[in-house]
Amino acid sequence: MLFSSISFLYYFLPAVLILYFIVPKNRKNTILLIASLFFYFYGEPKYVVLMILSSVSGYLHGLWIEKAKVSGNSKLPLASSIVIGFSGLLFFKYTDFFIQNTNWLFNTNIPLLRLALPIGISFYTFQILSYTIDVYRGEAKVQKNLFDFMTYVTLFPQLIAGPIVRYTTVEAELAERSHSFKLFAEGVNRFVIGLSKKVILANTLGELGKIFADSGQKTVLFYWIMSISFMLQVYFDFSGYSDMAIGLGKIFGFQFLENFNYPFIAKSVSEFWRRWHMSLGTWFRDYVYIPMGGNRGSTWKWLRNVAVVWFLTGFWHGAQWNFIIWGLYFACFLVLEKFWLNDFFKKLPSLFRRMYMFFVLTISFVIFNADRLGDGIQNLKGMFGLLKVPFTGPETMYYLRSYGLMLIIAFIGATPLAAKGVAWIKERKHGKSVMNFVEPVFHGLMLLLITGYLVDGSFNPFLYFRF
Amino acid sequence: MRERVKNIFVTVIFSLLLIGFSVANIMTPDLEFSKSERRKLKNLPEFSFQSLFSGDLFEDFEKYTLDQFVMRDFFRGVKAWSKYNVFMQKDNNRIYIIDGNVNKMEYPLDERSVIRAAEKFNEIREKYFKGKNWKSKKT
Repeated sequence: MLFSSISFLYYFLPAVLILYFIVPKNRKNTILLIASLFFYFYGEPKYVVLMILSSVSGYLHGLWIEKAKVSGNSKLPLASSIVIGFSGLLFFKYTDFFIQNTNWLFNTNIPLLRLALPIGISFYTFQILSYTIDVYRGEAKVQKNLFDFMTYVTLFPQLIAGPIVRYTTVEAELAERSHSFKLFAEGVNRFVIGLSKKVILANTLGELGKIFADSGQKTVLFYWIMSISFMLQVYFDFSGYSDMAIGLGKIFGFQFLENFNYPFIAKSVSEFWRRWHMSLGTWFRDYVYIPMGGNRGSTWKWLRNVAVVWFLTGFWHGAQWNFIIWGLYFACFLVLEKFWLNDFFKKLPSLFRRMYMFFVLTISFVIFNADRLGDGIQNLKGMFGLLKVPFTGPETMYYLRSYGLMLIIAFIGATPLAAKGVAWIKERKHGKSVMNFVEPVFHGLMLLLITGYLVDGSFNPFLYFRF
Repeated sequence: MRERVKNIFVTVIFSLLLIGFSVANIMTPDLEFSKSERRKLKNLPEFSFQSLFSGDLFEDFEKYTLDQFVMRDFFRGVKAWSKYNVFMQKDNNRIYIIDGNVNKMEYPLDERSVIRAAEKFNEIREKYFKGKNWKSKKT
């Protein structure tokens, strides 16, 4: 089930809210668990079994690690949990990729499995592993209650598109959490903001992408509009989903960590990755990069660690070469920045840094978008005038005018400007009480508008089916 | 407005909107036909275990929720209005308005269908007008 759907907003969510808030405290997790299992079953009737098995396996491994600690050998159960966790992910997500490449490399003809990717498997596998590794490290207490553990893994607000909530983040809240009008209202605000980002901005920009793909009159300008629009679409889609997850979490008394922090204002690639999909970045940092030695040790070791982490980060996004290249592309810039670019840009006005980031990021998303590598090369060629297409044309201008305001809103929306504006007003005299009125009214209107977009059956893609 | 009042206000309004529309959707009778779109609307899918486990049931239910939403035409109107007037977009569902005329955008051009039409015209000319001294009337 998508958050951005009528069935979620006007059937599932109200039912869950009513049940959740009328049952006594000690039954709330049960309601969440049942609701989450249904939520998953609705979209993936078969793979729900896989998710249940994965969480039971995580739960049992937690107990096993704890028990093995007494005898001093908890490495074995940890290894078992990692192997089992990853083999599920590898099998369902990556088998066909390996078969395809084997066929291509050795000219063999092994048939593909053509398995549909279980939605959210990359997210819940990483969450379960964060638990077993943290129990091994002594950073998390072992969870004795299977249902509480399953509530954590399947929690529907973050189940299918993140953020990757670590067990330690919600450990205390699983046992005891409070609910209040304040949290509920904050959650609603956040949820509606995320929903607007997804339905109004991301979906409209996605529509433009589809128009571009169908267009027979591509121009240099159109290639650029498309690339920038796609970059913004991914941002609003993904950060919108994270906002909705964080908002829903608050409504049910959970405090998830932030996942995006205005990535496009970053002045370097390393800063960008501290602001973009933070829950994934910190996961790889804490469970891969630092255990491998991080930046302690020789330069070669550091280079190796960076290459491994960024290969994995790319590959996590999907079983396709373009994602691997996408990850390693960032690794190259991280290395360049450390050894050379940071010093180089220090001497220049900050405008140059912005230009650098703009090009690096726009091109990175062209790679991200290239399901087939040839498409990516074609798009890059188009952008840099290497295809025999005119600079602009009537169709390009029509769509630029039609989507221009949307692109400007998206551009500004990707910066902290709006948030700063609201904070500025709140600091004025009476500003706070005015905003206390304006904000809810605005969000209420947005909810009605979004309902209109959804009822009309507008373009509403789901971008995470590969993750 | 005071902070606490706002929080209660937001909580109550949000819950009422969600629950209100939910109840209204369940209570209002389903329609067979949409006049404004000239098409049949989806009805509640019939339950079967097979469709439940194949995922078809919920896929059909998803379409049903869109087609049978209360005040559906009003909501579609809100969307169209805001697309034209707030976001300054030039078309909605490929409907384009120019000088008070409503046009359907037929882009990209379906060349096969144009060629097929031209062939039909030629066929008719060959069949009925061949050898006749026929001229089109200019107005």
